Amino acid sequence: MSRYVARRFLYMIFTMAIMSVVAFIIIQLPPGDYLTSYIMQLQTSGQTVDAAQIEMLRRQYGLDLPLHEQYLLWISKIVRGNFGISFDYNRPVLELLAQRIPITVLISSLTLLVTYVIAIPIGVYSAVRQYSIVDYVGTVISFIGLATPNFLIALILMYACQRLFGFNASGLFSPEYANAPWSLAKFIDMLKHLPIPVIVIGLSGTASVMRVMRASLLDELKLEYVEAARAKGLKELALLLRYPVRVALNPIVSTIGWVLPGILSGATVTAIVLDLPTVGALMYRALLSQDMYVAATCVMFLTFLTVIGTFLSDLLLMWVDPRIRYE
Amino acid sequence: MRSKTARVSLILLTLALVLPVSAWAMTYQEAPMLRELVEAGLLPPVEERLPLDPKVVEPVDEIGRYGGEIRSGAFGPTSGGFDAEGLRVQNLLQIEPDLQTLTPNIVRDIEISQDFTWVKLYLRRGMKWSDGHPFTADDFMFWYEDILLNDELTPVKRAVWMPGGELLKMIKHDDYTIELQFAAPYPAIDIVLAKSDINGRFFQPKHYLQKWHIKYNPDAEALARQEGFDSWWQAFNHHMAWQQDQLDVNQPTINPWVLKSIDAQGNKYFERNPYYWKVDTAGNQLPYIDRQTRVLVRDAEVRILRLFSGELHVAAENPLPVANLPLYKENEASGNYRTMLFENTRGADAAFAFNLTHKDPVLREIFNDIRFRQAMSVAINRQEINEIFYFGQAAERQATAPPMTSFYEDWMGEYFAEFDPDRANALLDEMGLVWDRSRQVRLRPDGRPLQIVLETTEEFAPVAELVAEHWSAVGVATTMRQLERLFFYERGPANDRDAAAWTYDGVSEFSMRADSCHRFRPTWGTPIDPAPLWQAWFDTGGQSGEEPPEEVKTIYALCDQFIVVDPASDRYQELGREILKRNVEGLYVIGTVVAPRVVMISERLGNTPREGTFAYDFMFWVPYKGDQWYFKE
Amino acid sequence: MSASPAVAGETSRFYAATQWQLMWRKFLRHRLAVLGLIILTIFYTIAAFAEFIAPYDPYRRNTRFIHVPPQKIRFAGQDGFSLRPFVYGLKQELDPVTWRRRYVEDPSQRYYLRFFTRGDRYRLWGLIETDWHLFGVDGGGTLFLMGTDGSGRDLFSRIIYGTRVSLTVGLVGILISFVLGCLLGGISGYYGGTADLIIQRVIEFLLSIPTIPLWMALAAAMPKNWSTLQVYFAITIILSVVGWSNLARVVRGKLLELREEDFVLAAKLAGASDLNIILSHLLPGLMSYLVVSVTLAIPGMILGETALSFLGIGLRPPVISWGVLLNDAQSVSAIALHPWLLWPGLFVVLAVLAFNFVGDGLRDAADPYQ
Repeated sequence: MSRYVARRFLYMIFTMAIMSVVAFIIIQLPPGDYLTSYIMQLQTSGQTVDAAQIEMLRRQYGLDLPLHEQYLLWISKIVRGNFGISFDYNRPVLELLAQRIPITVLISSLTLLVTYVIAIPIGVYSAVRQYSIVDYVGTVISFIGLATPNFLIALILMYACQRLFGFNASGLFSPEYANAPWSLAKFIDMLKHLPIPVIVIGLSGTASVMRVMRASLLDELKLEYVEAARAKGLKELALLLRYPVRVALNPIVSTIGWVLPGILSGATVTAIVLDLPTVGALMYRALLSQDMYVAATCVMFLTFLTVIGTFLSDLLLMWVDPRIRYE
Repeated sequence: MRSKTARVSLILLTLALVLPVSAWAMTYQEAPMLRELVEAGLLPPVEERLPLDPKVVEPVDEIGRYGGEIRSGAFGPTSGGFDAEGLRVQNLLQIEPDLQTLTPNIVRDIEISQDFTWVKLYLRRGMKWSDGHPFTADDFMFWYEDILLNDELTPVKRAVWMPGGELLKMIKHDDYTIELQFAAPYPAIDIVLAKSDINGRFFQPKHYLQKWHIKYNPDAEALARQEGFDSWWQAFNHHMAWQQDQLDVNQPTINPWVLKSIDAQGNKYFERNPYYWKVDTAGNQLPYIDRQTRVLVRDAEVRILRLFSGELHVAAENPLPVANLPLYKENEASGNYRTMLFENTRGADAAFAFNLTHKDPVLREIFNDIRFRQAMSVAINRQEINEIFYFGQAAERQATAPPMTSFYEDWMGEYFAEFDPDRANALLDEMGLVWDRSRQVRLRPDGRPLQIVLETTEEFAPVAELVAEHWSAVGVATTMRQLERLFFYERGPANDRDAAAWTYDGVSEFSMRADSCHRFRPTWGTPIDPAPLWQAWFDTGGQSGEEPPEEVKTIYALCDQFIVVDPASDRYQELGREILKRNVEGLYVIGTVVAPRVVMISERLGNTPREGTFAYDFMFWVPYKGDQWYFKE
Repeated sequence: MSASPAVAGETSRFYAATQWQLMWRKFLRHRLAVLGLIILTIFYTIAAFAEFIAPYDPYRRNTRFIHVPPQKIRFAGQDGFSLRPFVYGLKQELDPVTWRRRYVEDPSQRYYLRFFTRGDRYRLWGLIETDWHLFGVDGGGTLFLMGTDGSGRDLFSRIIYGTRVSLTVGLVGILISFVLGCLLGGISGYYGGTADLIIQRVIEFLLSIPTIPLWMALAAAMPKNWSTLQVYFAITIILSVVGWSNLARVVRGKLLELREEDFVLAAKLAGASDLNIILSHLLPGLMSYLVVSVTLAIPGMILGETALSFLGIGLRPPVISWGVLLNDAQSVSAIALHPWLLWPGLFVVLAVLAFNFVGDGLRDAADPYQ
C-alpha cells in the first residue's frame, strides 16, 4: 500500500511537470501577448502608443525573451514560491488567488453538498422504485436542468428575483456590505445571495449524479448476491445500504476527484454572469487578456487539484469496493 | 471652437469669477463628515484647507446638499474598464456642456500667445493636495524635468507633447506661474489642457513620489526591490499610475474624491477630498457627495439588472444598446432612474474596413480597388439596420466627421450611403468579378470563390451579421466571426484578417485638432485599422511595414499641416475640408448608422444633465461636472 | 438461439427470431420509450424535410414584423365561427415613449390556414427547386406560430431548420467518445498493470487540461476560412477524442471490480478471447451506466456549446441550431419583453428526454435478467 502511494506520488510530480509545459504552451498559442491587448485597449480609449514604447514595455515584462527562456524563468520562480505578478491587476498572482480561493471553495463545497444530498437519495429511490412517479419527475426536472444553458437559468432567476423581491442577486454581497467588515448583517446578506449560484451551478450537476446513481444501482440490483441476501431475509433498506448502494457509488467515486476542479473551471461562465469572484472567472479573464502568469498559475492550480483528486478517488475506490486491488 | 474666441471667453470668465471672490469675500461651509474631523482636531478648518482663491462655481441647477455614495459599474479592473471616471477627473481647463467653451479649472487663469507658441498657467495660491501638501509650480516642474525628460520613465514622448516634432519646454516663473513653450504653433493647446488628465496630466505629487525616484533617493533601487519590483522606475510607475490604472491607495490627488481602498474583486472605493478647491456660490466646499464606488460588473446583462435595482446610479460610458430602450424605459419607475438619449459624435456606430495590406495578393488587389469599397458600401441596407437595431431613429450615413464640424459638407455623410444592390453588382461586374455558374458567389481573378471573413466583437456582431448577409447577397461570400474583445484586438496588428467591424469614433472637430487628427489618417489607431503594414511603416519611419501609396501620404501631410494652423483662419477650413473629402472619397472606413447614446442617471441625483452630447471626444462625463451632483433626499 | 429456422415450422419461428424480436417486444412494453422513439422519428423527419415543413425561409428578415409575439390562431371572431382556422392581420405600432413595438390585430383582415401553400422558394436537398410548403396562410397574411425574432424572422421556421444541425453534428462526437471510452477504459480495467498505468496517466493528463484554454488554443489553430459549422464539427471531433477520458475512467473502475467475478474466470476457461470477454461479458454489466453517460452528454452537444461561442469556436449565426436560437434568448430584454424567444429550449428538453427514454427502453430490453 505505502509503495503504491509512493509510486503514485512520483507520477503526480511527473504529470505536474508535463502539465506546466503544456499550460505554458497553450497560453502562448493565441497570437499576440498581454501588451498587444493592453495597447489596443489604450488606443480604443483614445491614447496613442508607439512602437518604441511597446518595445520598452515588452522588455519590462520580459516578453521579449524566447519562449523557453520565459518558461524557465517562470518555473524557476514558481519553485521558489514566486508565482509572478498579474499584468492586469498589477498585483502578485498568489495574492489574487488567495483572495478568491475561500469564496470558490465555499461555493463549490456548498454546491457539491446540495447536489449530493438531493441527487443521491432521489437516484437511489428511483432505481429501487423504477418507473414510479418520483422517478419520472426526477428525470424530467434533472433533464430540464441539463438541457437549459446555465447562463439562461441564471438570468431568468436573477430577473425573477429582481421583479418579485426588488433584490439584485448578482455578486456575493449587496454594495453596502461589499467593503464592510464581517458582521451578522453582512453574513445574512451573503446568505441571501447564495441560493441562486448554488441552484444554477448545482442543477446541472444534480442531473448527472442522479442519473448515474440510478443507473449503476440498477446494474447492481440485478446481480445474484442481492437476491441471495434478500433470500437470507435481510431487511430491504439495510440490504440496500450495506452493499449495492456502496458499490453503485463507484462511478461517482471514480469521478469525485474531478468535481472540485470541474466546479472551479466548469462554472466559469455562470460565475461571470453572477459576478462571483471565483478562480474560474479569474482564469477566464486572464486567458483572454493573456495575463499569462495568472493564467498559467490558475491552470497549474486546477491541474494540481485534478491530479490530487484522481489519487484520492483511487484510494476511495479501494475503500468502497474491497474487490478492487492494485498490484 | 475658434481658439481666439475660446481664449477671450477664458479671460473674461476668469476676471468675472476670480476678482470678486477672495478669502475675504466669503465664509465657507463643509460636509458634516469633515466637520466632525475638524472638531476632533484631525483636520484643519475649511478656510485653511481651501486655496486663497478657490474656484467658485455657479450651480448647474441649484445648491446641493452633502452626503451619499454614488456607484457606477466598470467592466475590468484596470485599463479599458471604464466607469463614471469622468465624474472624478479634473483637468487644467474645464470643458463646458456647450462643448465649445473652455474655462479655467485647476489653474486660476491661462494666457495663450497670439501665435500659439507659448502658454502661461497661473495656479491657485494656497491650493493643496488631498493630503494637505501645497500644490505648486514644483509639482509641474517635477513632471517635466523628472518624468517627461527622464528616458526611463518616459522612453517615448507622445505626439501631444511634441508640437512641430520637438518636445515642449516648461519654465517656472514663480511658485504659481508656469510657462509652456512650443517649437511650432500649437493652436490645439487649449483642448490638450482641457484633456490634461489623459494627456499626461502635466503635474505629479512631487512630495509623495520623490522617494521612489532615483534622483531624489539614492536608495530608490533598494526600495523598489523591497516592494517586489525589479527596478526603481517600475516602482515609480506603480505609485504614479492614475485613473483606471491607479492601484496605490495612498497617492494624493487634487480630484474631488480620493481612492481609499480596492477590494479583492477589484471594486474601488473613493472618499471626498477634504482639500478640494472648489466652492459653490453659497460657499459650500464641493463635492456634495461623500463617497464614490466603482463596482466591477463583468457582464452587460448584470449591469442592466443592477441599474434596475438602483445599485448603480449612472451608466453610459460602456454603451447601453439602443435596442434595449423599451426595457430601460419600462423599468424606470422601479429603478428610479431616467433614460435619456444624448447626441452622439461618432462617425458610425458600426463601421467596416477591409485590410488594404492583406497577405493574399489577390484579395489585396480587390480590396484596394475603390470600386470594390464603393460597391460594398452601397450593398449595405442601412435602413434595415436602422429599423432592426435602432427603431428607425438613427441617422443613416457614411463614416465621417459629425455634422457639427465647421468644415463638414452634407454630401460627405451621403457619399455612397444609399442602398443600391444593382449599383453594387454593376461595380463588381465592372471589376471583372464574375459570378460562378450557380450564381451563388463571385469568383476572384484566380478563379477561386470570393470569400471573406468579417471579424468583430460582441457589441457589433448583430450589425455585422446583417452586413455579412448584405454582402453575400451581391456575391461576396462573407462569414461573420465574433471574437472576444481582446482576442479581436490582436488580430489587427498581426495583419491577419480580411475585414473588421468596429465603431468609428473620436472624429469630432475637437478630437481632430487635439489628437493629431489621427482618426483621419487612414491607417492609424483604431481596432479596425484598414492597413496594418502602412501603419507600421509610419510608426517606424519606413523601417518596417510597407510604403503606403501617395494618396495616403498626402492625407498624412495634410493632417500634419492641419494641426498647426490657426483655427480662425481660412486655411484651417480649407485643410479640414480637404482631409474629410479625401477620407470619405477613399472609403477607408465604411459607415452604417449613428444612433443617439443612451444615458441613464438615477432620479435621486440632482444637478445632473437632461440632454447633451456624450462622447469620448469630450471625456464623457467631464462637461457634466460630477463634483456638483448630489443626492436629493 | 442457435435453432435453425429452416428446420423449424411455423411455431418455432417465434423462437428462431428471438433475440431481436424479444428485445423489440420488451421495448414496446416500455411506453415512454416508445413515445420517445416517436418523438425522435418526428424530429428526424422534420430535419429531413425542413424546407418543406417550415412555412418561411428561416433567413427572411422583415422589418415590419420585428419581435412579433406568437400569433393567435382563431376559429371564432367578430364575424362568427369558422371551421377553418385563421389569423388576423397585424399592424406594427411604435410606442412613442418607450419605443416598444406593439402589434395590433386587425379583425377586418382574416387569413385562413391551408395545407400545401406556396411561399418562399427553396431547393429540397439541393436538388428539387419548388415553393410548396406543408402549410401556410392566404397570401398577404402572416403566420408566426412562435413569434419572430429581432430581425423579423419566423422563429418556428428557424426551429424547424435548427433541428438539422442540432440532432446530427454533435452526436457524431458522442459516438466517438463512447467507443473510445469503452475500449480504452475496458483495456485499462481488464488488464491492469502497464496498460492501466499508461492509460491512466493519459487520462489524468487529458483531464488536467482545463477546457477553456484548450478551446481557445484550438480556436486559434483553426483555419480562418472555415465556416462556423466546419469549425464546430472539427472541434466536436477533437473534443470527443479528448472527451473519452471520463467514461473510460468509470468503465475501468467498474471492470476492476467485475474482473474478479467468477463468470470472468469461467469465460476465460471456456477459451473466450479477452476482447470478447470485455465486450460481451463485462460491458453489459454496466449497460445502465453506459446508456446514462451517453444520454447525459447529449444536451451539451445539442446546445452546441454556445455558452462558449464568443471564443469563436462554438456555433454562431448564420448557422441555425437550437443552441444558437436559444442564445438570442439569453438577455434580460428577451426574458422580460420577448419571452417567446425561449421556445427553442422546449425542443431541446423534448429531444433530450426522448433520447433518455429510448435509452432506458433499450437498456431494459437488453437486460437478460428481466
